[in-house]
Amino acid sequence: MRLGMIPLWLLIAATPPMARGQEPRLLGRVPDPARAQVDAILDAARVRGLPVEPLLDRALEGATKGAPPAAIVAAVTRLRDELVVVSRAFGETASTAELTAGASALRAGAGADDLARLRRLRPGRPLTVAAAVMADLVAAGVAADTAAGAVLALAQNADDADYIAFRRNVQRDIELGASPAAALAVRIRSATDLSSTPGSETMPGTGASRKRKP
Amino acid sequence: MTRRGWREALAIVAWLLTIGPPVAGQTEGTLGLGASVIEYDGFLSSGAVVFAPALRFDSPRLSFGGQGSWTMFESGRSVIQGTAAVAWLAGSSRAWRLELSGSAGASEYAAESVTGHLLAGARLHVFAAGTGGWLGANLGQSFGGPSGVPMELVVAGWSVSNRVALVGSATTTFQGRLRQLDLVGAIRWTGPKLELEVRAGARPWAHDPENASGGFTEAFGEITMTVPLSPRLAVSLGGGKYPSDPVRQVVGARYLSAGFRLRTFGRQARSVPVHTTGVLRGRLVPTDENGPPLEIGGPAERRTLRIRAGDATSVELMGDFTDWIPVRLTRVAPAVWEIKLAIPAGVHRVNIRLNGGVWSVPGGARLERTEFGGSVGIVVVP
Repeated sequence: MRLGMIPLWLLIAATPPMARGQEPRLLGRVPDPARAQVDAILDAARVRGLPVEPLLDRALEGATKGAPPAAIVAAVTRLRDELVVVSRAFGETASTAELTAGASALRAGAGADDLARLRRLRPGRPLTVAAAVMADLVAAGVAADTAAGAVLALAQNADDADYIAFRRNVQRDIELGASPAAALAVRIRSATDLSSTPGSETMPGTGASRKRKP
Repeated sequence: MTRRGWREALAIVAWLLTIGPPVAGQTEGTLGLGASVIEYDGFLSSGAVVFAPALRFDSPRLSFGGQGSWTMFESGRSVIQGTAAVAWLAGSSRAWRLELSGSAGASEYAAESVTGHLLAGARLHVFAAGTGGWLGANLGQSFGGPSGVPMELVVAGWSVSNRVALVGSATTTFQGRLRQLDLVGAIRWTGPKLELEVRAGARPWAHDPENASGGFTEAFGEITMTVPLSPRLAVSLGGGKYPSDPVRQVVGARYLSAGFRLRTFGRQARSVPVHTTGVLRGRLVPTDENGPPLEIGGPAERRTLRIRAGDATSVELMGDFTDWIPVRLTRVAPAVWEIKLAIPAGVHRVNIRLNGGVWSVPGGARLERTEFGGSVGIVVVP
């Protein structure tokens, strides 16, 4: 009986700590070599107080899309690093949704300083939509620093609906043929009334006045 | 009123109607080809090429008009639009007549998005010697644009002499929470070798709580010159500024245009500026993403996800909220596919697939390249 227990005991002892917190949702989905590494990343994230759900989702996304194990691990690692940066910028009280949105903005080109400023300008208010709009603007062709400036310009007064309307209007203007910078400038002007001079607008974050193309 | 007087009155009424929907006009078919430079309110200017066929038919009581256009912009995107309208003039009183009309229009931008309108109208005309006026109302529906049932109330007056026609109108528009008043005056001079039309107006009052950037009070004006080169061919030059029209989803703009108009049949060329409809009907729209838009609504515990895909036989989606397990949507109406899922507020990643094909990014979602070799759509669920 005692001899029969030895192999199990040895197995437990030999198992590295990182594998002990196996995430059941990864089983059968993520290939074994990657799964152990992802589990380790998840464990470390828990220790650091980071949300694990986005990391888990990223692994599942890679698995579903047939990515090689190394690519899955690389994607989860990168997201973990982004979450660390955003967590510092947004503070410990940031929600999972806010951290995820911030990570998305970082990936789009926003800076950690921009996110930190956003937190300071919107104390106690949700940041998810604002950060997501920052990323959307960059993806629409707006320079990252300009997009960040626009979102920050609205930060003190805009609610989520305002941000969504702002993003939609800029996107539509661009699709109608306006340059991203001009579309952003026009919309930020109408949203903030920063400039009342016809034919010019103040570029958010720069303070510079720019003529609109006739 | 003499018979000629009636013809003049009807012709003027037809012209008046072009200030609103193009309802009635002189009998002819035309093909227009021209080029424009247009600058939508607050945007960069763009060159455009316009091809615009039109057909109009008049009888003493019934008028029909149809026009279409294809406009290609510098960006390579194009607008195709068409408008058709019919008007029936009732009664036989010398002084008063009732007109019932209907119009429909549709427009497609960049092969992606379609908007349209459907309007029914009634006008009470009063005729006198060389002058007249009418009271009218239009009521209907707009599609793919602002919400709310559009309604227009119009009062207008006109006067016509040998070569000069004058018209003035005041239109109050209601649509959803939007309210606006438009005052428009126009004069047309028809000479032996030149036709000149000047239109000027103002929007002295507007209230649009849903769009702070629109509905500002403004002044506008257009001038159009038409020179017949032959009995069938005319050249048109025009320019000016026109206001937005929320009912017909026209974006306000400034423009310069030049073009030719070939009368393919009929008796007399009309002075419809070649730039007209296609450019005027440019709208706010589209997306360059490769899938149909994904609409998400409802409470977090039971969101409705809807995709409009007319020619699809199956629609699937997968995302972080499905643990990246594909789920099938159910067809709930022709071209409408839905599924209900619990989705918390936040930023989500999603792909969709039609007819078992490749996974794509839904329209309206931000496209993000992934480390996995493809793209994913990023959507914000407030």
